[in-house]
Amino acid sequence: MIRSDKIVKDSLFGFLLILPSLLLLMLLVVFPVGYVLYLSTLNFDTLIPNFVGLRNYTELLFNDQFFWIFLGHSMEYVFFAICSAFVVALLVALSLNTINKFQGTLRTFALWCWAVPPVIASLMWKWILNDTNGVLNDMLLKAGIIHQQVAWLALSKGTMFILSQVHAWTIIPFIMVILLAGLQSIPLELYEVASIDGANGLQKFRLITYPLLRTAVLTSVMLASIFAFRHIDIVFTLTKGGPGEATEMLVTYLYDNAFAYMKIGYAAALSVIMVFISMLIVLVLVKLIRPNESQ
Amino acid sequence: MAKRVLLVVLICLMGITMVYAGGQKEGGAEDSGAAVAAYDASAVKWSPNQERVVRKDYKLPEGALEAIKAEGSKEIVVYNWGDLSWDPATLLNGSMFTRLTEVGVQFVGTPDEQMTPKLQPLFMAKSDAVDIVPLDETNYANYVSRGWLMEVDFMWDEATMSEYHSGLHSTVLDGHYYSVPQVGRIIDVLYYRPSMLKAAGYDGPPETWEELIEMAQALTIDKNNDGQIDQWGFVFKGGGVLDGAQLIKAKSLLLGVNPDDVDGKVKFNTPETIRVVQLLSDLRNKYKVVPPGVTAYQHGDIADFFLSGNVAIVVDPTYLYARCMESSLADDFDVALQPVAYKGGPRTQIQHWNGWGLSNFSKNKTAGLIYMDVYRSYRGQVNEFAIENNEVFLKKAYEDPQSKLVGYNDVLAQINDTVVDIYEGQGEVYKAVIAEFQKALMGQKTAEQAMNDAQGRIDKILGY
Repeated sequence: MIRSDKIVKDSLFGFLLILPSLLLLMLLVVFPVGYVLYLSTLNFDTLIPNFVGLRNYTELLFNDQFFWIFLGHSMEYVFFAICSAFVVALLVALSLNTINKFQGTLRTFALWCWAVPPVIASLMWKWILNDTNGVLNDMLLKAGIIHQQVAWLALSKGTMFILSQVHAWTIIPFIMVILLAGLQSIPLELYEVASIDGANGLQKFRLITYPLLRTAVLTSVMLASIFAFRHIDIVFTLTKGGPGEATEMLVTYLYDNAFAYMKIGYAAALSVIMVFISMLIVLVLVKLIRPNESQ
Repeated sequence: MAKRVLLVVLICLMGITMVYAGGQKEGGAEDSGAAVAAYDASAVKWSPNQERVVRKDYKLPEGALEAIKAEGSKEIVVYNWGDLSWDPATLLNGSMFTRLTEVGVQFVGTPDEQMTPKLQPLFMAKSDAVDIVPLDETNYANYVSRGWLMEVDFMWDEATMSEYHSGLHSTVLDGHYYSVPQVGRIIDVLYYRPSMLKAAGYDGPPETWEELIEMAQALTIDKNNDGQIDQWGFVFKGGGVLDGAQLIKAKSLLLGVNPDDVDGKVKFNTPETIRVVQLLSDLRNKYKVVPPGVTAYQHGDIADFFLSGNVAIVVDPTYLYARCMESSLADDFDVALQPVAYKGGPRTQIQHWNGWGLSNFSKNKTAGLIYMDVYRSYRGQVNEFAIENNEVFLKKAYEDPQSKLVGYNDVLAQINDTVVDIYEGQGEVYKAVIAEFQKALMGQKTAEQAMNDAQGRIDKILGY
């Protein structure tokens, strides 16, 4: 029989072991979150910031004409970026999972664009998409797909879609790696049995691959969506929110308020709201993708 | 149960943080005031400032070395716009400061977009991790109004100010000085390709807007008749907040109106400014002499475009000159003043001000002030112009033999009227202007609608 004072001693010892991590967590997570919440209740227009309660939040949600417009732009960006990236990443992952030759080399190639720092990738795409000297226009013209140079970053409608596709390019490897790991955890016997039962490729994917891959899909899409929602490098380098406000998003609005307009309290409130929106995105994705018990 | 307890603990901790942060803030304000009061400028004999700044060989003010020694300064931290490899004059001026004071300089090269995100937390934390702060129109007034920069009235007087271009008066905020000039770039100089102009039958660059339109049309060419433009007549910066807004402002100045100062107010919907926006929209949409993607062209893009060799005329800051000289275009480009609106029209130019300020939280205040003094002096300013080809505010700097070697010195000599405008909220105002301007460029709004909408936003921002 284990004595109760030994249990207490053991749990205290366990607590002491995790204490450094807890302290670090508090320093890196709890304190900044608390501080941002505090900042969001201040107005920094004056030399000494003054307390304004929830005014920054109400101003944003009810009086700021741009907040809802830019939220829509952010959602558009996340949606198109993730959809495109997911489809391509899934195809690449399925291919890499099937191909047996040169596996290592092919996987390295597939990860290549992930290794490019976001700012460098953005600058690279800025030149690719340049209307007069860009390689994209050159290729499309030579292929006869377009007949006039297109100003990809100055379209009345569609520039946001272009930016989202640049983002998609940068995150395909991230999604692909998670999906590939998920694919490799599916027992091959299931496919063998399905083959014996006469299932074709599509049926195997629908009835075996996708149901067993749902956890990996959820993880990759969830993380990629949150990353996309707070991603600033691409829009900042390519369009700076233009033309007009066509590619202005919550994250650029946050940057402007915090660092260009010095409205730190307002920006802090916006960042808190963005955290809640991210949580909402996660909830929706979990509801849509999470495998149910029977599966 | 355990999860609930953990959640309650976390919420409590956040609450404690907020209360703690609130307490710190109140105390901090007092600390800040104390830090400002602590500096005694009388330890150094700053006067006469005028004599010192125009001396060809800079001499430290009396008492400076003793004050630095008493302060215990060994090194100052200077933030710099961009990487130092682009700024040899800054390094040289830093070395000059170190030679004179035996205080080292630690430069922190920071990309433009990251400057405020890096400095702001340091200021808010009242950190002494930065001594000298780089300034421009977008951050200066904001930093001053928050009490982050030290007042340096003792470094200035009217006689000293008169040695610099008049635009520098705009850096005096509420009657006080908080900075010294670093450089003051002329942002609008015309670069053109003589060979392209000659091929189109022109002997020289356009001198008026009318000529510019005509020449740009003649110089926009589809060389192989494949329906694609191979050579553009003209290109301008329609993207980037400061770039775009200053483009409109620069052209408005040529019509005799400064949108940043119309009877003391910021006004971007005067008939003159609307005319400018109309002209720029027409260049893109009616005459089709600029690439349609100009709304995405920011500073640097124009230079790259010109150097790529398929544009005949651009208007860009003087820093493009050095790049051209190092490129394959070295023998086929020339510089002129940008075209005036009409014959005999004003030639007022924007000078893009960059300055240095001293952090209120610095522990090396005397050393920092001497760094600023060295930089604004004759030698410091000559270095900037002669080595980096950055225009400066000190008028005498252009008379130095080294400065006279700069290839476009004769063009600068024709400029006699420059403006610098600085006010709080300028960044937000310019953002509104560029957003509406781009809508006009895209044909989504008329020039008048766009500028009226921009003005509506400006009125709200500035509380008119």
